[in-house]
Amino acid sequence: MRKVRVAVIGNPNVGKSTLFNALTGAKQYIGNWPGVTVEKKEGERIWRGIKIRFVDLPGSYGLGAASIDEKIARDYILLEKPDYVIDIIDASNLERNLYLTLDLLEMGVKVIISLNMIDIAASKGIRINHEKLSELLGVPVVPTIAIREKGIDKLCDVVVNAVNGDVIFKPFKIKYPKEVEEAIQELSSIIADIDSKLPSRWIALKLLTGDEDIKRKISEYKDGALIIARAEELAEKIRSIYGEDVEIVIAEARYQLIGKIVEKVISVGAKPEIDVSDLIDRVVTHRILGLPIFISILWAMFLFTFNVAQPLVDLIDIAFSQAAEYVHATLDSSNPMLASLIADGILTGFGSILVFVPNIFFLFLAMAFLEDVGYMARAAFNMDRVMKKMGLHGKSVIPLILGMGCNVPAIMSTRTIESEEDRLVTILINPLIPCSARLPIFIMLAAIFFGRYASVAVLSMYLLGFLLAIMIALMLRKLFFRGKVFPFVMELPPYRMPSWKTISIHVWNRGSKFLKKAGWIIFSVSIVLWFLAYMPPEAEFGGSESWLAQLGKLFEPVFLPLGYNWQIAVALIFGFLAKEIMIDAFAILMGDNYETVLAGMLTPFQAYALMAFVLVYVPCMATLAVIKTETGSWKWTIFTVTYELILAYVLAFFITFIGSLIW
Amino acid sequence: MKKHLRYLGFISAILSITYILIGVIEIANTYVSFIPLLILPGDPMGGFVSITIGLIFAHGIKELYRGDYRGLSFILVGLIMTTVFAGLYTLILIADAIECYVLTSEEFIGWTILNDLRIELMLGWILFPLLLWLKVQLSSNAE
Repeated sequence: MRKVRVAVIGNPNVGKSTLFNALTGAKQYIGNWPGVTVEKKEGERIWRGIKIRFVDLPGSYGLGAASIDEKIARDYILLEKPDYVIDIIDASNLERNLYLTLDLLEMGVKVIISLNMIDIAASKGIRINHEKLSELLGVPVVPTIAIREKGIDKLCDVVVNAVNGDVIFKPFKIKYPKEVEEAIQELSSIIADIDSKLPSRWIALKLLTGDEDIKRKISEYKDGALIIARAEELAEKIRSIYGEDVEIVIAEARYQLIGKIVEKVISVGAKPEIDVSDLIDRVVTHRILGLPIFISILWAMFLFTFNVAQPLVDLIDIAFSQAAEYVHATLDSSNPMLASLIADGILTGFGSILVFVPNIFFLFLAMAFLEDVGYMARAAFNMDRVMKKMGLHGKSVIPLILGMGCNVPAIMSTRTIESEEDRLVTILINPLIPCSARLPIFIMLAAIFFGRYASVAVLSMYLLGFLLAIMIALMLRKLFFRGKVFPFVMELPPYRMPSWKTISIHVWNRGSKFLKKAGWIIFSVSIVLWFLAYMPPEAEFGGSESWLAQLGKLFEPVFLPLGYNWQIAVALIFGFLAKEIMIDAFAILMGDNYETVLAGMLTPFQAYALMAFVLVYVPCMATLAVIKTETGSWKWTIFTVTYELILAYVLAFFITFIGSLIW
Repeated sequence: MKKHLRYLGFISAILSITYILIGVIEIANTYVSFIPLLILPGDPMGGFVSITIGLIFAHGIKELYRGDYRGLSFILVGLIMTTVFAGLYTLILIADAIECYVLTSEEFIGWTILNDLRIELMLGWILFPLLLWLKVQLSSNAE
């Protein structure tokens, strides 16, 4: 079977993920881009006898190297040389999107344009003559509505036709001012001499604009330094003629051309008097109402995660409890050690975490829905106002919201923040946002101690997390990072009816990560915990003579002022590996009815203090590792652990103290 | 659409008062038995949400009375919120019914459908046709 590799690229918020999902369905492979930890998605589709492998590139506005995402996209096209590149264009925002298209065409790649969201453009009175656009750019243009999977088959048809040689890709060249054109000609002929495989004209352009990454690549060639020096000389000459940087001269030429193209292909009808997206935004991003609406939506998310998922949680719980009882009943007499391993270690211990899988999937479902409908961008917009007052950059909001899923990708997403100071602050406060791993502990403790107000207690943890994050950011800004906060321009995508296919793929991708983690790390730790609770064999399982108890008692004095005994100390210590393991530890140490044991062990205030402690104290190992990688410094990694431990202890002590006065 | 704006302003005013009252009673019921009705449970966060919805409706009254179509923003989002929460409370009712009748959970002994039949659930569904009507009106106007 013939194979073809197609890269999928586009500006952020053009429906790239939706189109990628529509193209590949569930056949996706998630890995990392080489050398970095940015997620790489690939998928396949067999169409008319050809195996098409799609590679999802990070959202980019151009092929510069302004952010790590742009660099990844550019390097993939430049070095891996995919057979074709599908460039997704938002039809309602043609002018801005064409900049990336021109960059791609200048690079000389075979571009297939997916003119997406034509329905939204039409609702705004914008009609695009896609045949004319295709004629002007010299590449095929396919109108699509990815969310409704319209035009997807046509897009695949075009790829197959291109493979069969039935599509003509005309060479594309922008005419720059005379001096720029001469400089490009001179440089590109030298570049073609040193490596004929390089897109010489595009490289020449990048060298003239002073692109550091391209300079580095060229410097690796023999005579590379000479080429760079000549490019700088030519750039200086152009600057002296036009009184502006070459980058601006080039951008002006491109935008002039874009303007001409847009004029020829777009016909704007009567703009509707009422734009529903604008109407909704007037309220959702309202100065006063925006924040209470955000809190209400968060509350709805928790009700959904907590109350609606509960029957599934109980069903799994019943299944594990009955299985454990059955194992004890059948194996206890013949092989007590094996019975204990399966029943106490695996079914009770490991199973105690698996019962929360529905909660985690429901949380991801709610988050994916809000993302897909377009609300998450508005949430970020609302929070931005608060953030700015606290000296945080607007772009910090997105990593904080992502942190509710998992702190690891959230910290990685800070790479889009240009200022190093803003980025560091965002990284250092991110572990304060409760991730999905902490959710089971909150749910478990809240259900035991707060009855019908359990959801309120869980929500309060999230609000506390955001509040602490903002306060610590303010302190860090005042103490260590006194630089200026850069302004943040944010694009609000139009509201869309969610695509259930995209949502389910999203939920599965995120949820399966939790399942993999549970299946490997948590399962292994469960066995270790069981072993430590079982040893020495003559002692009672998980009793005060067990090795696990000895370990807990070592740390017990530290936690006694908070009212926590050695059992809770053990749970907190193992929670460092992955937060969910705390429940595993409780189940192993206290047995199947650990909820009842905990209820007799703590007051509601001590339980709330424990929730706050779990919220703040040391991030899990994976988060610490990513903090070290992203900050490139042990100093900041140790700082994070230290400040979080102190803050957690002080906070828990304060709540316990207040509680002791009341309870 | 223009001819309906004043009526919608009137509906907004009624809904605003209703939801704010519901919210205040639910918050009060959390601490004291203010109006002890099952349909108005003591629920501070539910009360907060109702007050928020009431305030959303309230913001649009003036503009709608003036005949300014921008006032539709508030009644539209208010109705979306009432529907979202009505849907959510319905899902909770179904989940609790499963807990009671299928899983026979201890905590749900004595649970009846009335325990979860709160006023926002009923109001939300009663108002749903109004949201659909508004959506149709806005779509036809947008075309």
